[in-house]
Amino acid sequence: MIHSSLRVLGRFHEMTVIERDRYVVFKVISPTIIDNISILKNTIWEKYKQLFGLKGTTEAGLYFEFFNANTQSGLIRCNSQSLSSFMVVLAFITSINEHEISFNPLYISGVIKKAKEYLDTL
Amino acid sequence: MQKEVMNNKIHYLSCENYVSLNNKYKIKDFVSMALRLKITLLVLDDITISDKKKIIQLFSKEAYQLLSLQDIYKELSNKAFSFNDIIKQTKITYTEKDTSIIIASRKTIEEGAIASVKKLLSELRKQYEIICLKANDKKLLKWAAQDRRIDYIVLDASYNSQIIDKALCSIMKQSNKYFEFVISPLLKTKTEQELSTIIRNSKKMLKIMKSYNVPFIFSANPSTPYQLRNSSQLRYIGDFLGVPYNKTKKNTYDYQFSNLMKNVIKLDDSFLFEGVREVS
Repeated sequence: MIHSSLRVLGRFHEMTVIERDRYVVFKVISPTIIDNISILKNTIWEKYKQLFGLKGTTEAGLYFEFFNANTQSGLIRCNSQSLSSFMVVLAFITSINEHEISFNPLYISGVIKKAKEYLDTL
Repeated sequence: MQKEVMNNKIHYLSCENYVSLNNKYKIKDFVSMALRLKITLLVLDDITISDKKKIIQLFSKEAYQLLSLQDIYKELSNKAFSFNDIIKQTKITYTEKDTSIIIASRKTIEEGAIASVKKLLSELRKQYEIICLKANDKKLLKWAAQDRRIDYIVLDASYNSQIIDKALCSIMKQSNKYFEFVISPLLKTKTEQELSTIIRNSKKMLKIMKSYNVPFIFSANPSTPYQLRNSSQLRYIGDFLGVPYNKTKKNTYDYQFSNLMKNVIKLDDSFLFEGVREVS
């Protein structure tokens, strides 16, 4: 009996912690229209690296899901543990290629479907 | 992390307490950006109460509405009697609308001597709704912390952290006065070395304020509309600088709004003394 319960506890101990994702819907506010997602990607990566280093950047698990050039809005996935640091990065970005820019995070969700639904309403 | 999320949509009441206008950007630019970021209260630097009234008249034909707290108070003073009721009613009826922004006036005094600050205060107090002091002198700051006419002591993120100490913090706390922590140097820096110094200084200052439980507010002091940050963004920056996100719930709107309302009531003609007003 004791052996079996210990075995169960051991299994719990071995269980891996699931890393939850967060989907952030954002809108870019800028006098110039941004149609190239790679520019946005590079800016966010560089700012993240500047503030939190390479370790922080890799832990954040950033993934650029979608960007709509017409509505200037997009969707980025990040790790739930790194959400606050990601929001700091968005708040710190003030320019892209010497053009003024502001990121306005509008909606945060743990489910991609809901985030996409919100994105469609924009 | 517990958050005020309304149907997952980030919805906060936001305030920008320190908007300095310049030649490049005018009020219209800041207001349109504030509407996009859902900032409902803009405090404009160097604009008197009479100038503010003119601005509101100028913008009367725009799609959005600029409001003055004086007018709101006059409307509400017959319906709501206590200070808390007035604040509650204002929030319900005016600030939660997407198409209206409350604007207020402020003056930031940048002087080095107590005598000159005293002289300026007697001249300016009734012309502006909010009066702030920006200084580097410890003696002046300690004097200002006890003066009733000054609402905020401005602390720039680029300041040396030695400017605030235990004595100043305890005076501030006793006289129920607020520090205004300006984050704009963090956004304006160009070199990494400069940014690192500013982050280190701001962390130290916020640590001191946190350890002595001194009330403080965040403001962005943007030089362009694109540097405006709403409530949640300011709180995330605060979190980055060492003040937990959940502990700054009131530092981006509530403190600013109640201070402003207090001053509006004081400046009203019907005001006799705190808690008492003349009814016609």
